[in-house]
Amino acid sequence: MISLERHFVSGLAVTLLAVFAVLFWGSVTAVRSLSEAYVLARLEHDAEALLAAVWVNPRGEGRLGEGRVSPIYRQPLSGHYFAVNFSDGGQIRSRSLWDETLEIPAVAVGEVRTFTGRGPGEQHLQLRTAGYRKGGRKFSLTVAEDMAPMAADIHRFQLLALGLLAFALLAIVLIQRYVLRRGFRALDEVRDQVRLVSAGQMQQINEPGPLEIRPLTAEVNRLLKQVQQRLQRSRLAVGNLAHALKAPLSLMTRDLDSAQMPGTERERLAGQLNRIRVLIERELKRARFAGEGQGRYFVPREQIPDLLEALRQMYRGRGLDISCGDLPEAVLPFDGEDMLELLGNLLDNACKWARQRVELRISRDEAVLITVSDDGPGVAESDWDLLLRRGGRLDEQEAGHGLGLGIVRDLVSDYGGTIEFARSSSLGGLQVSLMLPSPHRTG
Amino acid sequence: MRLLLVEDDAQLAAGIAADLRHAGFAVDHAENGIDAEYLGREQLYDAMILDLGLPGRPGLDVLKSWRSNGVLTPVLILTARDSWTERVVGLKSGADDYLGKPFHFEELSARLDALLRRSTGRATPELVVAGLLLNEERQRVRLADGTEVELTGTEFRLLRYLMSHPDRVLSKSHLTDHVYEGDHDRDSNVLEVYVRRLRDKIGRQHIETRRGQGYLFRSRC
Repeated sequence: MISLERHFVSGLAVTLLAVFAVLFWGSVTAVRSLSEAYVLARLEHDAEALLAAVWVNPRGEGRLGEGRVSPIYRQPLSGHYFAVNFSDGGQIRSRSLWDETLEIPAVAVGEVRTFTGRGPGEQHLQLRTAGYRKGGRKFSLTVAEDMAPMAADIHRFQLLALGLLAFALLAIVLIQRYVLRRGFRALDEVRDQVRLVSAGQMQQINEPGPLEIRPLTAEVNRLLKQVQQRLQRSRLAVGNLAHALKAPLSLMTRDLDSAQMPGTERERLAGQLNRIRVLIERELKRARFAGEGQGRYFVPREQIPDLLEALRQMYRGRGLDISCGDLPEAVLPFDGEDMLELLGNLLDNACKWARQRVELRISRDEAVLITVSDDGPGVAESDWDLLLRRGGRLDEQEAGHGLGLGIVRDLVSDYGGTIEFARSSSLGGLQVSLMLPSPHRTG
Repeated sequence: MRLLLVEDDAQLAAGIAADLRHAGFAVDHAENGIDAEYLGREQLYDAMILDLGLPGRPGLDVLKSWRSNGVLTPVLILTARDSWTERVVGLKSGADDYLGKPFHFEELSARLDALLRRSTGRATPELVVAGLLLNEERQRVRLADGTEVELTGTEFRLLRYLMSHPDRVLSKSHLTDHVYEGDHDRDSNVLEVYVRRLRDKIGRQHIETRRGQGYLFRSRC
């Protein structure tokens, strides 16, 4: 898998490494050439002072005015040396050379040569030799300085620069990684919100996040809106179709009811009409189911009291006692219309068969548990399967009975739940228990 | 009993209206929401059958408008839009019952009877007053001595209304409103003729004339 962070950080590290290497090389070269230039300037300066101290006595011998020579040249092996070589063989050497000699190339008068070489005690020397003529004598004047202390300074500088650059590299990479991760955290928020949307707790993503991911969240929102609009449109279209089909179907039912024809023929036609009706009810209602995470969520405390009131109204003549236990306070991540359809069909069925009492219970644990019980005659255990089967035969006496449970079955399977039947222990009639798994736990 | 049938599908409306008339109801028909709203507000009906998908004005708006104008007539919503969400909304808006299409007329008739019984405060399915038993299916009346008497459509509607509202003074125009359909000739002399015919069939003592006020059906004689 491609990691943007790894890509970015490794790219950054490689670039920085190259830049720092050039920087390091450049600074070290500059320091070295600077210090060399400094040493050479000092050597030249010393050479001029020494030249002034060289004099030729009346006997024509070259001499050095000792008092005018810097004490550093008198201290043995001090690292600072000089030698004056006369063209005819005489030589004056600094006391610091002790009994060592310097290897000095021959130079013409007016020529200056700078070079490096070995000195006493394996010292690395920077040497400067120049040819002069003074008091009628030609000689070369060589000044030398040990480079070791300078080299040590340069080495220290190199280490320091290396350390600083390495620290800077590490710091920049870490800071960039932190900044990147902070940036990606905005994506985490968006992901959390998408999750909430899919759980049905939000319709749109609220947090637009940083500028860079705003186009993405805007696209996701647009897509969500499109899906919701499509759902709404198809629900509307399906509703209109159902509406349009049902008027002619009502008329045909009515005409058949009042037609004069033999019983078998009437039964056959009635059977076909009923099949169409079942198809319209089941398939069109099915098409209207939203499935989890779509549409408006289910708020038991708001919707159930209205539903129960509606049922009481419809069954007012029979004086049924339709009650429900404590309802969960939470918003459940199911579509409100689906749940009303589910509970409406279950309760309506219970009301049709109940003598006096119908009871609804909804509880919420890991899953949502719904039980509907009545005090009616109940259904024999052997017929429980038939209750759910398409076009079940138990419903023929009571219009819509089996159909309602078929819709319940379809909805429950859409939500990945289960249905169980039992004899109600408290009321004695049929008890239908549904278990609907929560897609996500919510507060 | 006079009903308002609100249904935009002309053929279906004609079919239902014919069935309702056959069952002894006077039926007015409105095919759009605006007419329905007006008729329901201005006329006296005993029950109204309301489709929701109406041209002109949505059925739910019509229902809400009736209720907010103090029209308490029982309303049965008869619609193809029969999801439970729509049912809950319809019943919450003031409907008394809800029936999905397609339907069998027996179911509609049974629910209408239940609504009318409820609105007149009657608990039993049979209409028995002062020893008279009205057979609503066959449109006959059984007298105290056990003889059954055939009734014409108008006679049946008039007697059913009188028996549903016993011991109350009912004016001629009130009775006309509940017995005849909207476009019927409303000459009150015609009503007098029907009252006289009814008296001939069930006995004079049941229907009392209150001069200048109307008629009263006695619950005991």
